[in-house]
Amino acid sequence: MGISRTVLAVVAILLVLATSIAYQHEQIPTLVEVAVKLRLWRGTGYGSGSLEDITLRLARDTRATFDNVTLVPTQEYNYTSNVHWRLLIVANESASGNVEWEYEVLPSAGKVGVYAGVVSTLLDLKGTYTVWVVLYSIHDGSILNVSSFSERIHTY
Amino acid sequence: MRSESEVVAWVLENRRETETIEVKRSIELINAPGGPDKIEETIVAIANSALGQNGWLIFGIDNDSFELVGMLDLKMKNVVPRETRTIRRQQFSQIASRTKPSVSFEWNELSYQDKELIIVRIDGRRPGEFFQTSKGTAWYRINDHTYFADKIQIRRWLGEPELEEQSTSPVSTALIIYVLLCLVAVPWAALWVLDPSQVARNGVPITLGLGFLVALVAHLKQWKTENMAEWCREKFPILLLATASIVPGAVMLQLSLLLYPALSGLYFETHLRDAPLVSLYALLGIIAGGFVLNLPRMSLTQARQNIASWIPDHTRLLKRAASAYFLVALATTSIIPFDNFLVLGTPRIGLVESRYVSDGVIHISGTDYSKLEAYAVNQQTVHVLLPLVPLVSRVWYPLASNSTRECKVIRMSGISASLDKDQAGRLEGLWLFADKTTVSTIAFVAVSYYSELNVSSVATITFHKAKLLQSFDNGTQQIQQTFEISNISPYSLHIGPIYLFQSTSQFEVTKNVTSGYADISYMQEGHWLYLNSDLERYGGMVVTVTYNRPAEL
Repeated sequence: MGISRTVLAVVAILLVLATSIAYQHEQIPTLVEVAVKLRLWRGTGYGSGSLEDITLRLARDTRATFDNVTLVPTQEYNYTSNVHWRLLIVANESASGNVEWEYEVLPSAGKVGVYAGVVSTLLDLKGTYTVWVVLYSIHDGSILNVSSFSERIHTY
Repeated sequence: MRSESEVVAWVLENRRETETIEVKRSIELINAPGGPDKIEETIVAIANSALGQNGWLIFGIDNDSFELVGMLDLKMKNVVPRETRTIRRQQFSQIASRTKPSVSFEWNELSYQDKELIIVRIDGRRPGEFFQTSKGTAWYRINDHTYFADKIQIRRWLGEPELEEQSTSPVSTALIIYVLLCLVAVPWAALWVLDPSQVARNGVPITLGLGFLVALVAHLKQWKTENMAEWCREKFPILLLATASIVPGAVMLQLSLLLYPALSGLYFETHLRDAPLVSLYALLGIIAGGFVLNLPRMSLTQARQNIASWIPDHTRLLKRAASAYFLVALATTSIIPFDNFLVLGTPRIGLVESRYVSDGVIHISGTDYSKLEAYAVNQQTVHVLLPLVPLVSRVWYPLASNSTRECKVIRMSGISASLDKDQAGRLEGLWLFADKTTVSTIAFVAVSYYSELNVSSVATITFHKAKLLQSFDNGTQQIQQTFEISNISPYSLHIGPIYLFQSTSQFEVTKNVTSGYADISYMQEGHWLYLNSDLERYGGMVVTVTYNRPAEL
């Protein structure tokens, strides 16, 4: 007993439909990219900084983290420093749980000076959250909150 | 004789058969040995004898005594059950369909003087035509006798001139009305789905065009009015079932549209919300057409009987129709959720950013220190997922503000936006317009708007009782007033200008400000002392002002 043409046609149509649906669904962004523009001051024994801008956008690529924080050439000095920064992103107040992401901003250049750049990451968020972005400076075990920002977000 | 009851009354009164009327005592004759051939012969004979008119075959009248016997079996003892009658009807239909060409008939059940009868109306032949049995024999009747048609008789039939068709016969009038109603109901409903304005613009031309097409095909195919009417009557239940399927589809589509705001965060207006009403109009049009079509042929009682007998014969068709209705309803219900899932035709909100007190400052001001207002500027950014094929040109996003202060769109990309305000100027929402030139599937719009706050929720403000220090001869009074302001909000406060007291330009201020500054100035116009201040979080001030209030103020 062979397979009828009708069955073959129906299976073919269903396959085409399923493939199209899967492809189209793949095109829809489901992640939230948080890009934090930083401006950081690094001394020999202290560190400071500010969150210059926070940008959120829908994304679907899989890039997890992006960091281009570099020394601003005009502010370059020859002194060295081991001050670095910690960027903390927390999203909470949701039934689906908290999202916490922590990132060490550790410039490759060991010099004092002014650093600037963008750190971005992808968050898989659903529902209504308050997103907190907190910047700490770290030196010799002391952690200092130097800047923070928050906003309410809702994802569909 | 136009109706079945008239035919029965005529037979019972005259107690004889005619060329076009034959009676049988039992319906079971259809199933008796040799019965099918005899019935076929009778059908052919009646149809050949009823030139341009109806013939009648009545079951339930004794063909010897012409007494009413009803639905009895061959032994005239037991009543033939309804299920058996249905089977006999199907057998009769098979017999009629094997004649050459097939004889058209209508099976009617009639209750007459408490007896049940089956009256089969047989469409008579047209001039130039004749019917044969499946064995190739043409029978015809003279009075109540049946004869074999020889070659001469057949040649005579073939040479008959065409009957003049009454152009204004009830059947042709009913057919025209039916076709017109169908050509209005279905195409107009389809046009309305595409665009309601098309109905007024193109509805009549399309109906007339289709009507002309039908008339042309009927003419070229040499369709006769009676044949067309019969075909329409035969197909009417199918048309009715098909049109009726629109109603559950339209109702479920409306339900699906109601889901859209909850799923997408957006609203849009569409004429399809009225689809249930329009589908009902279309259905009523078809029903009215069917009613008119059958009006010349049957009474309401017969119609009821026909419907009652049609349903058991078409249970399979009805089951299929019910399945089709379910599938149509399921498909229409899932349109919006499916579209929202895949963002095919309608946009969807992907992400909303709400930045309250976006500049980190709450403002307090007032023309009088007893009537202060507090407000803050907020920012909301709406990220929209644009559909693959935009079917909706504009959507509405709810964004309510309680302030009449100016709101504005500060940034947008891939989509245009305009502010929707109420009569007082308060923001109610955003109209978003898809930008067709964009290639990105993501767009956003950022809006800045104000919120009015309760002063007591952001600051504690206390004005102590004014002290009259002294009164001068010219009526001027020297007054001392102390007030305290503390920032209890998690943001900075910008206070001012707050118009405090009317005074001369001579005044003294003593102040104690923590985490901020406070400045009291004099304004020549109106002779006002006013306050400007910035207080950081947890900041506060205690200010004492000594001023001279002239008598004329």
